[in-house]
Amino acid sequence: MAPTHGSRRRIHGVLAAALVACLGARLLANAVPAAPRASEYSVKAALIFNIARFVTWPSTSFTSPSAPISVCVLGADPFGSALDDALKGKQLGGHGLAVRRVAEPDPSCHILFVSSSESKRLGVIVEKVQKSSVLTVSDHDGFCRTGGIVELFTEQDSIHFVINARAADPGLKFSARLLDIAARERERSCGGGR
Amino acid sequence: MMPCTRLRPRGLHDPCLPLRCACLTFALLFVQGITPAAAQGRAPGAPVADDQADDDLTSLAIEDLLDVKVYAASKFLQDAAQAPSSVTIIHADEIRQQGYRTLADVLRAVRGFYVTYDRNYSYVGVRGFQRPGDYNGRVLLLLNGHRMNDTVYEQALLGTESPIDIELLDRVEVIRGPSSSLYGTSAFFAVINLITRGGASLRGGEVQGQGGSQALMRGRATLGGRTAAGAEGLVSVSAYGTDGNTQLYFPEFDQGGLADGIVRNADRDRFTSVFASGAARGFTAQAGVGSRLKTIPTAPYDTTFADPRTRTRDTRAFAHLRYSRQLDARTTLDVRGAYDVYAYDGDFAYDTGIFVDRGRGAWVTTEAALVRQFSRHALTTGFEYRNNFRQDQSARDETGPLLDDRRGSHITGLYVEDEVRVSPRLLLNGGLRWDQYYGRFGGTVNPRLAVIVSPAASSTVKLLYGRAFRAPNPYELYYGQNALSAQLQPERIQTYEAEWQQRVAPALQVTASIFRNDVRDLIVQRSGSDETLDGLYYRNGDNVTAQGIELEMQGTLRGGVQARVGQVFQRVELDSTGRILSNAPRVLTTMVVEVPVPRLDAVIGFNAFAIGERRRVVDGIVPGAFVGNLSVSRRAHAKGLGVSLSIYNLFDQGWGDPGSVEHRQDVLPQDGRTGIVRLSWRM
Repeated sequence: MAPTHGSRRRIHGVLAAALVACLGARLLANAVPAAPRASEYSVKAALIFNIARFVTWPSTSFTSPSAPISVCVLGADPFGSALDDALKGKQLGGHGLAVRRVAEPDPSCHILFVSSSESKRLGVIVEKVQKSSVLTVSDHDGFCRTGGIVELFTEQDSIHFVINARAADPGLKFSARLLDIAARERERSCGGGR
Repeated sequence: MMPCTRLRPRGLHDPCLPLRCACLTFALLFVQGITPAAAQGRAPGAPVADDQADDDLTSLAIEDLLDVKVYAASKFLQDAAQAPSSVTIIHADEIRQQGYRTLADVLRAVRGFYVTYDRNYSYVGVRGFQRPGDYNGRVLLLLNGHRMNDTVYEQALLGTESPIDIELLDRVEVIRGPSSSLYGTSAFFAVINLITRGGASLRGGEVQGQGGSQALMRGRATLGGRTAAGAEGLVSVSAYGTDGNTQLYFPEFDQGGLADGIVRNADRDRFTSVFASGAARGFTAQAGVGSRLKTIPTAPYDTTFADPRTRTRDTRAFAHLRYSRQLDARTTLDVRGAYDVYAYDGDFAYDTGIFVDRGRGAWVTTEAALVRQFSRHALTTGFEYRNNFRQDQSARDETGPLLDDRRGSHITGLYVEDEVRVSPRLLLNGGLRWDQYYGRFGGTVNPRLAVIVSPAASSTVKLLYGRAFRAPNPYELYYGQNALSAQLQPERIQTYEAEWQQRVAPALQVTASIFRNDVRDLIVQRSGSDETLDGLYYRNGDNVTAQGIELEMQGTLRGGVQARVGQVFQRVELDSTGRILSNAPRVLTTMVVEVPVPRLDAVIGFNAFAIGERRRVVDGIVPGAFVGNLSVSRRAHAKGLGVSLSIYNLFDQGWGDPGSVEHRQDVLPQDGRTGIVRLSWRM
């Protein structure tokens, strides 16, 4: 059946309305200032830096007193440039911070962020760096139960963390203040941690 | 005559309509996606951040950081990219912001999926495949990993008949392609896994009330929390009722004067459901019960027209306990046990009396799985045993019992899956499952293979091969069937798929997929048997080939605007005749847009689908349709009131789904414009 002239006009009307609605909504969204919200991984990057402020690595983990703190991302990188941006030009205890993308767990990393893409081998990854003073961080559900040290999670639209300090190498020192915040934050227990 | 819902095919015969919609939305997305985000060189993880908010995040104290509200990045990229299938994940935020009422609404927004509603049940079509007489048995529905398809009809309950209130979901994972290598029967075209919210996400109570067109009322009360020791729990009660469409017009029943083809007050729908879940010390438990009563206005099976006594009740209950234990750093053990019940009560009114149709299923499932990590691969092995100790069907009418079929069956399954990380850029995933149907069809082995390559950080290519089966269910085998039905064998599918995901701009991802499904010995419904109760019977019949291309664009634009547009071109035909299958649209467009309005703390949501024309079961064409839904919502914060308004079928399109074999109607009309207002209160 051939569509009538009127029906064709109707379709175009519908499409035009949809287009106008989309554009209108878009303009409306751009016109008003955004509330102070940030993207998930910018906050996670900032949080990693902030947690690192309260952690001390053994001096033997640095090749020289001015060597940078090595921040590694293992697996599919969810940060994009957010981590590099957050750490650029920052200093902690005289050390700069350098971001590296790695394919395998590397004991020379100071901080190792494990992407969710590696979820099937979290246990193995943790095992490989457990004896080194590597601060393992992941936002994968259940990371600290697997023996990971810092687990980030999202709840009620903001990022939280738990610290499983017992899983860490004795060479890694956590400030009491950090553990205190983590304890207050303790919305999630790490479960059968060791 | 009073105005009533009629099919008003306002020019929807235009075969190019869905295509035009797709082109328009694609163009819109592309232009908007490329320009602002790319121009500013934003990171994929930081697509929507407000500049000022992001710049000095590191200077904030740790406590303040924990209070920063975030736009959640889609975990899709990380998790789904590694999956040995093509996966779409729908999150709770989308469900709320788009005003999805049921799982059927969710699936209508998923690329390649469409839903047929016959004013009784909702039937999902996947990649152009939805057969008459198929009660969603070719799709596996899981609730937190627990099988929800029953064991009499193998039905996945997707519409208001679902025992799970959609508001309890944290996310819906839609996994395309066969997964019999992991789950056995029913995982034929797709697996839909529902993940519910945990008690910890509530920390208090939540009450919701809804009111809307068609005298719709819906209420829910949910309570949840977590103890200091880390145990969490949730309990929720829901109730729903609507008069439905109080006046429906079916021209097939219009004989002028005597019977004017109008059905009044025979579209009622009500349900109640209860769900509880808890987790502590490695144990996870969930239990629920839901019952839905639907009056059927379509006079199926030649029942008396406009008789509100024709109705179905579906009751589904389940209890599931799971224990997960980390044996050592590399090994996890997962043990599950479940008890399930399903009851179907169909009453079909005839002038001579009521035809009473009953189905009863009860089954116990046990499953154990061991996951062992090695340095370059992860091996999963599992065992499943199911005792379907009750698979009963009965029927009677005023003359007495017509059918009383009582039986049970056993199934065991053994499966193994290995994921090998060959190199940082190459992942292999292979799985195999053996199922044994004692006393029936014997054993079947189904593999799945996936090669996942990431040539660059911004792209993923998946090459997928899978085989699956679906065993004939007791309804197909024994519902007063004839000799042919008793010989039924499992139907089989082989699929080949290549999927390419590419980030074309920092916050814009394009997916292209090409697929081919070869279905063998398809179990088909035939009519015209004198030996069977309803004249219908099943037999292994056709071989069917489906081929298609899927395109999707998904992105976050400036101001937090999120959009997902999918377009499918497909051809599903009978091998013997080359004829296109009924209810198989050649083109299908899905679209979801979310626009935050921060000043009002609100979100505008718009979703739509455009479905191309479909062939009817008998000859003829059901015209295509473009249906859009608009919602405006303001969410409830930690404590307070949330409100939303949804308008369904915003453009008031007159459209319909094809009728099935039991219907005299060629086209079953769907609702025009309706609205719902929701109020929710958090405590």
